[in-house]
Amino acid sequence: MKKSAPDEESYERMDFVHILLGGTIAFGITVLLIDIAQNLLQQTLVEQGMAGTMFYVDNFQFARGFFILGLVYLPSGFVGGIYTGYNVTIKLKITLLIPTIISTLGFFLLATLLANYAITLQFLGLIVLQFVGTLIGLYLGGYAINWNLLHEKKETPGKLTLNVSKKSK
Amino acid sequence: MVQFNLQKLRSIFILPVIIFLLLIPTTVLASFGIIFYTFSSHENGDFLWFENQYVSMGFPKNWYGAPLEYYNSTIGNMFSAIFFAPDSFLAIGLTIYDKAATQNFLNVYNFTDTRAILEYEANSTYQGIIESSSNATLEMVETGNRTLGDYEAEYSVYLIRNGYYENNVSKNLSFLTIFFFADERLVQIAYWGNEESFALDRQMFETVLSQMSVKT
Repeated sequence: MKKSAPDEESYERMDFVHILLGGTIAFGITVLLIDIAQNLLQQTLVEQGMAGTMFYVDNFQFARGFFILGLVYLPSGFVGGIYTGYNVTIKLKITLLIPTIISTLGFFLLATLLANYAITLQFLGLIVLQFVGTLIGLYLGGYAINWNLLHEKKETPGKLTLNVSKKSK
Repeated sequence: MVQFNLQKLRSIFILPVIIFLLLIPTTVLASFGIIFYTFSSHENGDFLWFENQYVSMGFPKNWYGAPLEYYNSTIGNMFSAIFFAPDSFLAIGLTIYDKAATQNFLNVYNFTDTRAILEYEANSTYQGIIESSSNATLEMVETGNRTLGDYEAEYSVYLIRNGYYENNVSKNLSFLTIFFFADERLVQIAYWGNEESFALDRQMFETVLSQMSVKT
């Protein structure tokens, strides 16, 4: 990892490749997990004898939104953020926004061009949710991997080791 | 002797990671919170209760369901709901036309009574099935009148032999279709599925029917 202080350098050519890859990783994981998460929710409802709740569409959309946010968008953004933040340490605030846009745009194009989703208000809500979830995940992942670098000066060097002996019964 | 290296632990459990780890269970819990709230606020015995401007009805708790509403200023409005059993080939369908849609439907197909609609429905279902299962045969089992709440309905029960294939074994399909007018609103209720499942859950369908109330 580059050891330069964030926000002081300008981008190099490879940085753009890593940012693009970060977005692709987030998008790829989203595509990979989204069906699994939806099936998991559906299967859980059936096994709990509550599949009928899907009939109440408005409430169910909210519930499904939260479920996918937590199990798909946040993790995919987090992994994408770790990759991007590991390879590009400068201008993190802007750097981590770009993979989010790439991932959301990829998801939007996949849904509209390949899956033929109609662009409705409900669909746009899903896209916004994906954007927000991926954005939060990416920032958390990107800042997590750079945490020590960002807080280098505040850290006190040294290591505390605790020795704990197991009590024998 | 177990050794804890706090420095290593500290390097993993930094603020962004803690937030990330907290957000996942929070969103999943919120999701199930909404589901449990929805479930418990509509639960009524073995059924979930649903009510809108067209109908008040219960349906089995563990059946998949989807409501559909069509609004069209020229041909009228319609409400449809469909329910599927999760573990067998069995379904319940309901369609309620408003006055304008009822009139339009009757005019388009030149129907004068519900008997004609029932015959048309059975034949068009059979024609649809024969396209994918060429040796299917239609067998009328029962037709008649019955009272549903305040309304007099006409119904027919028919069987389509060799209606579909499951693991290369031909299966029969049973259908029960009911039509009636609720103050100039046409109501269609259908119950269909695999012959064995159809017979097994018939009582459940009768309970759904007895609890249903069409609004006028």
